[in-house]
Amino acid sequence: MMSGSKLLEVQNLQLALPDRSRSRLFGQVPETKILTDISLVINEGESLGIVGESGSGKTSLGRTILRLHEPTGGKLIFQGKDITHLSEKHLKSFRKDIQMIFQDPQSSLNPRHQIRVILSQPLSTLGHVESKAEADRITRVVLERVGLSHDFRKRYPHELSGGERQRIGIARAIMLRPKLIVADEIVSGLDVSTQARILNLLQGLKRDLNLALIFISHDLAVVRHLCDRLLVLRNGEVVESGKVRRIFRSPKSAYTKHLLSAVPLPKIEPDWLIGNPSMDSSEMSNELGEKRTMENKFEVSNCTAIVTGANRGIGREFVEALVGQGAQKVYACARNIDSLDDLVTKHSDKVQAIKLDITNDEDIANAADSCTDINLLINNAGINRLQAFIAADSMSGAQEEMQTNYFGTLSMCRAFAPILRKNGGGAIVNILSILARVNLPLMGSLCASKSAALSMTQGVRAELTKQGTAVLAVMPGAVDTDMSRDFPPPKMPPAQVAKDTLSALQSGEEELYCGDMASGVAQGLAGDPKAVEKEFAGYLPG
Amino acid sequence: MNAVLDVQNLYLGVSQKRHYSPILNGVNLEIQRSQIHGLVGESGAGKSMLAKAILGILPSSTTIDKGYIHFKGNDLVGMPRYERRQLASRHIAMIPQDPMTSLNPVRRVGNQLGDVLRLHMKLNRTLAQERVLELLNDVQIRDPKRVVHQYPFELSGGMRQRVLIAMAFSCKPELIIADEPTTALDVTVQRQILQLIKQLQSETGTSVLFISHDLGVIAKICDHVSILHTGNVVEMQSAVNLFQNPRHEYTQNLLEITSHYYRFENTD
Amino acid sequence: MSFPFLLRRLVLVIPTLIGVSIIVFVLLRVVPGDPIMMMIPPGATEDDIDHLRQLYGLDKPILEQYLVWFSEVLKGDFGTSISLRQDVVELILSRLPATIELAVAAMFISVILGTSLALIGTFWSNQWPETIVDGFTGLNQAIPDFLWGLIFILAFGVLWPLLPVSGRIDPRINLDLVSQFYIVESLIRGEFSVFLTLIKHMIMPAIALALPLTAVIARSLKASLRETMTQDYIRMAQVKGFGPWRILIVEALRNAMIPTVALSGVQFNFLLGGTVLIERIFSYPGIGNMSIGAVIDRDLPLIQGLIITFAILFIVTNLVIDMSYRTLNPRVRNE
Repeated sequence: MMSGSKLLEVQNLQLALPDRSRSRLFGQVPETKILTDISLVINEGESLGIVGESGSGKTSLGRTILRLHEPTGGKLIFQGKDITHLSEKHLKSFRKDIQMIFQDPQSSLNPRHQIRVILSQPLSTLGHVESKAEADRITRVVLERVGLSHDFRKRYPHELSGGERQRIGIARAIMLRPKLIVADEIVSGLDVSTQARILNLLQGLKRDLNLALIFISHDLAVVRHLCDRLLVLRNGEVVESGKVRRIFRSPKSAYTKHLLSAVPLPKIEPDWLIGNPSMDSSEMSNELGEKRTMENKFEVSNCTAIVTGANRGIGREFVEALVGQGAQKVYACARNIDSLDDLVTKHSDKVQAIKLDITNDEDIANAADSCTDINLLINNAGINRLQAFIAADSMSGAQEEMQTNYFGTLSMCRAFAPILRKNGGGAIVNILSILARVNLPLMGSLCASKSAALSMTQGVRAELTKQGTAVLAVMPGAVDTDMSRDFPPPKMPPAQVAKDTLSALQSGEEELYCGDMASGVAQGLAGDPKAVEKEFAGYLPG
Repeated sequence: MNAVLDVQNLYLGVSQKRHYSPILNGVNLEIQRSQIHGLVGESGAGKSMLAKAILGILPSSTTIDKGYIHFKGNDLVGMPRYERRQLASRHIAMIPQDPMTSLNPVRRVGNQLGDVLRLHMKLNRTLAQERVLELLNDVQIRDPKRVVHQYPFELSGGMRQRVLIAMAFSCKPELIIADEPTTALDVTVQRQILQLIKQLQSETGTSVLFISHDLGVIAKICDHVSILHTGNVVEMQSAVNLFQNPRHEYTQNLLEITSHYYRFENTD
Repeated sequence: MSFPFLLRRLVLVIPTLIGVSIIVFVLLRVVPGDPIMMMIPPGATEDDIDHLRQLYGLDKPILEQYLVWFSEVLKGDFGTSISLRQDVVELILSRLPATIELAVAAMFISVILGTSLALIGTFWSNQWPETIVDGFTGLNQAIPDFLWGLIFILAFGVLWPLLPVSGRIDPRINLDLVSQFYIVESLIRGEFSVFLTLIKHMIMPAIALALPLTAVIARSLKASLRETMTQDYIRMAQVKGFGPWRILIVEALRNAMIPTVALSGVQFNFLLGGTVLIERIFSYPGIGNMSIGAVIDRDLPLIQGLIITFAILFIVTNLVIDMSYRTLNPRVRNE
C-alpha cells in the first residue's frame, strides 16, 4: 500500500441544506442537517471507501469535498491549504487537482458531443494546452490508458455500452492528471464482470499515476477490492472507520455487520432470506428514516394522541387543540376519571377518558394495553410542591415531585415507546417547565425534578431517533393555570402552550421555549445564567 | 404438463436500417409451477428481449422469427394481438428494474393500484380501495392509509418497489416476470425486497421468472436457473446443482468472477 | 400549501402594477402629440387651450401629474376620458366583459382543439392522421390571427354570407340583459335565440384568435406526449393491459401537459394582445377595439386605464396558469 504525504484533510465537516418542502411564507427556508462532524484524512496515492445506504449523506460528502456544496462548518484542507471558503476564482487551480466521476455516466456526458470533444474540453477550460494537436495526442493516450481504442474519439455517448461510458468518465477525470478522484457509485448497475474490469482499471491507474481515490458506494463488495481504508456513514455521521481488512474481518459497529450481511454471496444459503427479524425492523426504520430526515415533522391532523393530566390546565387545552386540528382520536387521562366527563361529552366521537395515575405502574400498563393505536404521547401531568431543599419540613414533597415529574414521565415513555415504533415512529412531547433550566431558592426540588426530566427527555430522544420517534421537550414560562396561581402576572394562557407545541411538533423542532418569559430566560441563560436566576428569583411568589 | 411457461426454440432479431441482427438464437426455457426460475446473463445477452417477448411488448423494430411461447395452452406468438394482450395482461405480471420511473409521477399510489384491480378483478371502487390497503399491508408498508394518498416521489426507492410488487401480485397472476428488480436499490433494501418476493411467492404459489446479472442474488432466491449467453440458454439446472457443479464453461467463468468479487474471507 | 403561494403572488402584483403605471405614464407624455390639440374646435384661442390644459392638469410637471393621478387611482378613480367625456372606469367596465368572453372562448377553443390534435397525432403516430395534424399546425403557426380574421370575413361574410362580420349582437334584437356578460347571462336566463346570435357573432373572431395558439399547444403537447409514451410507467401500463386510449389519456396526458401549460402562459398573453386587432377587424365592442380609438385620439386617461386593465388581465391569466401547473404537478405543489 502506498501512502505518501497528507493530501486532503477534512476536519469536523458540517453540511446543512435548505429544505424547500418546509419553506414558509416569509423568512428563511429551514435547513436540514445532512452531515454532522465528519473528519477524515487521505494521503497521496491512497484510496478511501465511503459506504452507506441512500440518504446516509455519502454523495453529499463527496460533493462537499469538491466544494460543490458550501460546507456549513468545519474545514477542508487540500495540500496544506485551507480551501473551505475559497472563492470560485481561487478554486480554479484546485479544481484541476480534484476530479469527479459521476454516478450516471449517461447523464453526465453531453449527448451531442463526440467523445473527442468531451475529453478535450477540460484541457481547454482548466488546463493549459495550446494546440489542437497536443490535445488530440493526450486524448489518444488517455483513451488507450482506459482500455479503449482510438476509434472511440469519433463516437457519441449513446453509442457506447454502460461499461464503455464509465471508462469515458474515468478518461475525462484523468485528462488533467489530478491528484484526487472522487468516484460516486460508478459501478452500480453494471454487470459483475464489467464492474470487476472497471475496478481493475481504477486500481491500475491509482498505482501508475499515484492517484488518491475517494470511492463512494452502497456496496461493500466493490469497496473491498479497491480501497485501503473505509468510512461507514449513516444519517450523516461516521459509524465506523478503519483499514478495510480490519473492518471486513472484525466489524465493530452493528450497522457495519448488518451492511456486510446484506451482500448476497454467490452460494446457496437457505437461511439468508429468512434473516434476522430484529435487523429487519431496523432496516425498515432506516429506509423510512431517509424520508424522515427530509421531513422530520409530525402531522397533527389525523394523529391519535394520549394526553396525561388532561382534566385541567394545559392538558385540557391540548385535548381541545388536538380535536380542533383534526386528530382522529384523543385519549384524555386523569387520576380522577370523573373530572373528564365534560370533555368526553363535548367531543363524544373523538375523546375517550382513561383513568391514569402516572406514578401507578398498573394504571400505565392498562393504558398501554387499551391505547395501542396512538402515535403521539403528550406527557403533561406533573406536580408542584414548591419546596426549598433545606428549609423544607421533610423530604416527602421532594420525593413526590421526583416520583411524578421524573419517574412518572419516564414510565410513560417506556410503556409507549414500543407502541409508537409499531405505529410508524410518531412523537413524544414532554411538557416540562422553564424551571428545568434554572435553580431557584424555595423551589429547588421542583427545579431539580424538572431538570432531571429534561435530561431524561434528551436521553429518550437519543435512544428513539433510531425508531423514528420525534421527541419534543417543551419549557413554558409562567402559565395561567391552577398550578401557578401563586405566580404574579404576566402569565400566558394555557391554550397558547398547546398551540405552540403542536406547531413546533409539525415543524420538527426538538426544544420549545414557550412564551416571552421562557424564550427570554433561555436566551439569558446562554449569556449570563447567574443574572437570570437572580432576576427570576425576584419574580417568584413570597 | 406442469410447466406454466414453455418457450421453445425462440429466434428473435432486430432490424435497423435494413440491417438485421439476431438477439435470441433458439432459446428454450421452461418454467415450472410455483417456482422461482432465474435467468442469468450479462448485458446484451438478450434477457430483457426475452422478457419483452413473453409480455408481448417488443418494440416494433424487433420480430420473432421462429419458435413458440406456450402459456396456458396457447401459443402466444401465433395469437392475434388483442387476445394475446387480454391473456398476458391478466395472467402475467411484471416487477420492473427501476422503481423510480415505473410509477406514474402525477397519480396517487392508491389510484394506480386500484385501477389494476378494477380492470382485472372487476372490483368496484370501494372494494378496490379496501383491497389496495390489504395489498400494501401484505408488502409490509407501514401506514398504508397514508401511502395510498401519496405520490411516488414522496416514497423511497424501496417503498416504491414494494408498491410495484403489490401491483404485480394484486391480480393473482400465474407468472411474474421480475426484470432485475433490485439492481437500482441499496444492498440492504435489496435484501428486504428479495425476502418479500420470496415470501409472497411461496404464499401464493405464483411462478416467477427472475432476471438478473448477479449470481449472488440468483443464489439466494431461485429454485432453477437458466444461463443465457449470446442469445442462447447454455445451461439449465437446479440452483443447488448449478452453484455446486456448473457444467458450461461460461457458467464456470461467471461463477468464478463473481465469487472472487464477493470473497470477503481470507483477505490477508 | 397553495394558500401561502397565492398570497405571495398577490403581494407581488402590487409593485408590478405600480411599475407598469409609471412606465406608461411617462412614455405617454414624452412621445409627441398633444391631446388638447385633438379636442379643440377650430378657432379656439390660446386662452381656451390653456384653460383646457389646466382643466386636465396637463400643465403641471410629470411627477406631480403622476402623483395626482395615482392618488385618484387608489380611490378607484381613473379620471375622465378626454375624447368620450365619460368616466374611464365606467367606460372600461362596460367593454371589458365583451373582451373577457371573447378571450375565454378563444382559449377554450384552442385548448380543446390543440389537445385533441395532439392526442390524435400521437395515437396514430407515423400514420396519415399525424401527417394531417402536422400540416395543420404548421399552417396555423405561419398565419397570424388577424390574417385569419380577414380570411374568415372574406369567406363566410362575403363569398358565402353565413355569419355576421361585425359587432357583438344583432342590432335588431331588443336586449334587456342586466350585465355585460351577454353570453353567460343569456345562457343562465335560457334565452337561447339571443345566445345563438351572440355565438354567431363571436365564432369567427374567437376562432381567428384561437388558431395560432391551437398550433402552439398541439405541437408542444404532441412532442411531450411522444416523449412521455416512452417512459417506464407507460410500459408498465401496457403490461397491465390497459387500453391504448386509456393509457394515452389517463397515464400520459397529464404528465405531458406539464411543460405545455408552462409554455402556454406566454401564449395566452399573446392571445390577449391579439384581441386588439381582432376586435378592430370585427368591430367587436371590447376594450381592444376601444384601445385603438383611445390611441388615435390620444386620450391619455383612457389609455392609462386600458393598459392597467390589460396588465391586470395578464397577471390574472398567468396566476391561473401557474395554479393549474401546480395542480398538475404534485412535486411543485408541495413545495
